[in-house]
Parts: sequence; C-alpha cells; structure tokens
Amino acid sequence: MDDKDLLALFREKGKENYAFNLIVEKHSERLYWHIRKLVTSHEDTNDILQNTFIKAWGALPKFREESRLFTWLYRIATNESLTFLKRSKLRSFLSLSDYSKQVENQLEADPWFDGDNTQRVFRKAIMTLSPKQRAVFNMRYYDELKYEEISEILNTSVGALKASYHHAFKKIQEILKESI
Amino acid sequence: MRTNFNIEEPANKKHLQENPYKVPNGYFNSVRVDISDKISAQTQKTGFWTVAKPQLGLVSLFAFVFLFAYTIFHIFPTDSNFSLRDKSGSATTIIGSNIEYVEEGFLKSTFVDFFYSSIDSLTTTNEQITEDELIDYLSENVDLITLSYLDVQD
Repeated sequence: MDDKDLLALFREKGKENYAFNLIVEKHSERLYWHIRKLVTSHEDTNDILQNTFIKAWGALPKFREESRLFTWLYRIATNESLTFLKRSKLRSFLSLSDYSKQVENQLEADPWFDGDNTQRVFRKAIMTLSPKQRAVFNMRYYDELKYEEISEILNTSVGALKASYHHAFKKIQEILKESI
Repeated sequence: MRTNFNIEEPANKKHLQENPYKVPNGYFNSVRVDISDKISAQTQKTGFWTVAKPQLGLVSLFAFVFLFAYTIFHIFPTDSNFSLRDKSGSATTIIGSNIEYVEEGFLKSTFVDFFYSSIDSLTTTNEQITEDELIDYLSENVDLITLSYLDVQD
C-alpha cells in the first residue's frame, strides 16, 4: 500500500489506529537508521523514534500532503534528533565535560557497533561535525537523497546545503587521511 | 599511513555505506508494538480532561492578565485618587485637590491644604475689596512711619 492509500485509510472514521500502525510498519526501520546515524546510541535512537511517531500521530490529522509522507516523517525525526543532540551538548557543557570526547567514547563503548576500523574512524569523523551538518552529510552520503529533498526536510536552501556538504566532506576527508 | 583515501571512490563509498550498527533481535517488531501501545494509551486519554485542559488554561491566562493589570494599576495609579503610605507606615489618602492625611484616625491640615484652599478662594470667588476695607486694614496693620513714607512718595 502506498502512502496516499495509507493517508486515505487514516482519514476513514474508525480506521485511524489501523492505518497508523501500517505507516509505522512501513517507515519505522528506515527512520530508525536515519536517527541512529545521527545520535549513535541505540537507546537514544529508540526514544527518538517513538517520540517521532507519537508526534506524527498528533499532527497527522492536520497533514495537508504538501510534501510526501516519508519526507514529512523524516523532517520530524531529524528535528527530534537535532533537538536531542543540542540538549546533550548543553548537558555536557553544564557538567563541564568534553562533549566530543564523550561522543567518541560512546562509539567505542557501543555494544551494537559492528564495523571495522575504517568504518569506526569514519563514524568518529562524522561525529565531529555539527548536528545539522551531520544530518546533511548523512542524508546525502548514506541515504543518497537529492538536495531538493534534503532542502524540504531541513527547510534550508539548496545552495546552503551544497556548501554545508562540501565543508563536511572536506573535513571528514582530512580526518581520514590522517587516521587511516 | 595512507594519504590517498577518498570517501567518494566507489569501492570506499560502498564499504563506508555498509551499516556498521546492529539492533537487538526482534527490535523492529517490539518497537512497533511499543508505539502502538503508546498511541492507544494516548487515544484512551482523550476524555473530559483532554478537552477541558486547554479551556482551563485559557481561563487561567485571562485571570492572570486581569490580576497583573489590577496590581499594576494599584501600584502605579494614573488618576488623582490614590493611596500611599509614609515612612511611619500610616495610610495617606489623596483625593483630587483636597489632601487629607489620615493618621491614627485624626485629620490634619497641611500647608498644601492651605495652598489649595487659597487658590480655590481666589479663583472660584470673585470678591472685590472695597476702598474702605483697604483703609481699615491699613490703619490697623501699618504703622505711622510707613504711612508718612507713602505720603512723601506721592
């Protein structure tokens, strides 16, 4: 069933829960990996994913289909993740701990990370980017989304996204050249 | 150390794009159930309170704004009728041009009372002083030397 049919089903009286469960079933996995690449930890990703769908449930009756359902869900997930990262950074600042070191340690200690050394160094390099730049880089490099789609999700101009990706790319390239 | 590593090179990109993360077994099924349960719980919660909450919030907001405005107008009055307290803590009531100090139950007149009442008597009553009244006043209050001096000036 495509997104349009799911939305039509959602608007039928008494079928909201059923339709929404189908939406969750269809999109949860892809959204999970998008969030996971932003925040790294499985537990945090799980919380953010659940919040994303709870927010979507509240806002779906007002969804006017100006964008695709998946883009809309992606936007909610990205915003939730960016808010989470901002809070984490602020929390570590207030507790006077080194945020970048904390993120690095998180990846080292993650029992759900199964990559080799190159992938580990690559992930660590991505974690040095600012949250928004990280989101741009992930969506472009991993998910291979078009700049227009990223622009719709992040509400940023295509030009600014290209510049952001270029800077992120150069920074990661430099880190990898030194570390691999 | 390799210095020519390029993340856009197809072989490298393919390797780096591989997902290095794992999830616990059966995670995606369990998270769907968790989300579904949370949403069902939220739907059941839509009762009296869910409807009444925003309305009560609006009422409290109006009450707060009213109390705030009421307090502000009491502290900083804009008209001529207001109350204040002096250093000793006794209440002072000022009503228009008639100033009355109410201290421990007694009314006291001050210079301000006299000043305002004088202005009132001069501006509100249009009394003419006759020449006889003036002469009577001068003869009672001005001494001879002053009067003789006035004669010389004329």
